[in-house]
Amino acid sequence: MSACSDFERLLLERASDTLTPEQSARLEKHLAICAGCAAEARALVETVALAKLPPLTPKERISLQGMPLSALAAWHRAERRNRLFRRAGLGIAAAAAVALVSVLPTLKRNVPTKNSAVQVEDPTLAALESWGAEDPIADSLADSILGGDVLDE
Amino acid sequence: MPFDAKAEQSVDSRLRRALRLVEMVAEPELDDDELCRAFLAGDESAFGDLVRRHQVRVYSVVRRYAPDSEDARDLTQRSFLRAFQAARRALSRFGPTHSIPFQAWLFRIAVNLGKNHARQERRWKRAPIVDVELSGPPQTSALDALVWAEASKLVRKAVLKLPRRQREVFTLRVDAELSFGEVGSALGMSENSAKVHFHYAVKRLRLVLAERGDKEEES
Repeated sequence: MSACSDFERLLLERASDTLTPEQSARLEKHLAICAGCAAEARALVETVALAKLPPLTPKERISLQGMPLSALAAWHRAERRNRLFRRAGLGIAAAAAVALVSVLPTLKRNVPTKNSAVQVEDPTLAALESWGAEDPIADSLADSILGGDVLDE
Repeated sequence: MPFDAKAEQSVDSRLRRALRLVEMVAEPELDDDELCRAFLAGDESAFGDLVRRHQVRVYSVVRRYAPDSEDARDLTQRSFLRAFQAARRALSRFGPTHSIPFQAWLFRIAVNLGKNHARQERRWKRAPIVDVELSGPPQTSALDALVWAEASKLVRKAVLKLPRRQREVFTLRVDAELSFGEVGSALGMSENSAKVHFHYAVKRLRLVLAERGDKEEES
């Protein structure tokens, strides 16, 4: 025998102990005459009861009594650790800043500027241009003519 | 003059009530928000008051996930520390007038820590609590007690296998005995949603029990 669908929600609310007095009175009246709903109501309440954990043992209760003090001690330990980390972080940041300041002028000197790049590149470009303009055959001919030791026409 | 015990009792109870009233007026109980602010402002006794107020319920929630009582205690303590840290961060980020829903944060943190603990330790398959025989109502016989213990073990395992939201709502309602409004605010959902999740959870657990009954009948 199954529960009436109209009362399904109320049965669940009864199991979760959230019925208003009016709802409870209405449901109990129904449960008195409906065996299906009564069985379902019992089963739902039993399901929640079965899922419950046992009450705390005396040992657990005693162990919890010291919780405020031990938690406070743990809080202070964590605070000290955080302060230490913050100081260490600040120290590392300061050291990094000092190192950067000392290295920066050297770096600045070595970093090629836009003008110096042109200066470096200029001779190279000029050399390339002059190489491109060279005529090796004409040159060798001129050498031979001027030297007069190879071609003897 | 004859001794009138009833009148004496009445005077005694009136006196006790008056004393309670005086105590209440003298030291009005601070709420969580006020206690948390007091602690962060340097009042260490407020820390103890707040921990004492919630420790049993937080412990009750996390011990479902942590089979070992020492682990459960550790998780409870960590929940408090994280909740205080969260409150301090909130106050420093949003200003001192920002509200601190300490209880909601505390239980949300406790559920998350418990769940992570269970996942990390892969202890889902272990029965979380050993004293199974203590959990049920008084049994009429040893056989009844055994049947109850078996069923209880099955249902508790099933609780840990519930979908996340249903499990969270169920444990906060049953273990911490929070109202559905409090459950909703801890998990960031409406009171009605919390009720719906709870109902689905109970239905699912009921199904597990019914299936077990069917199997037993078959065998």
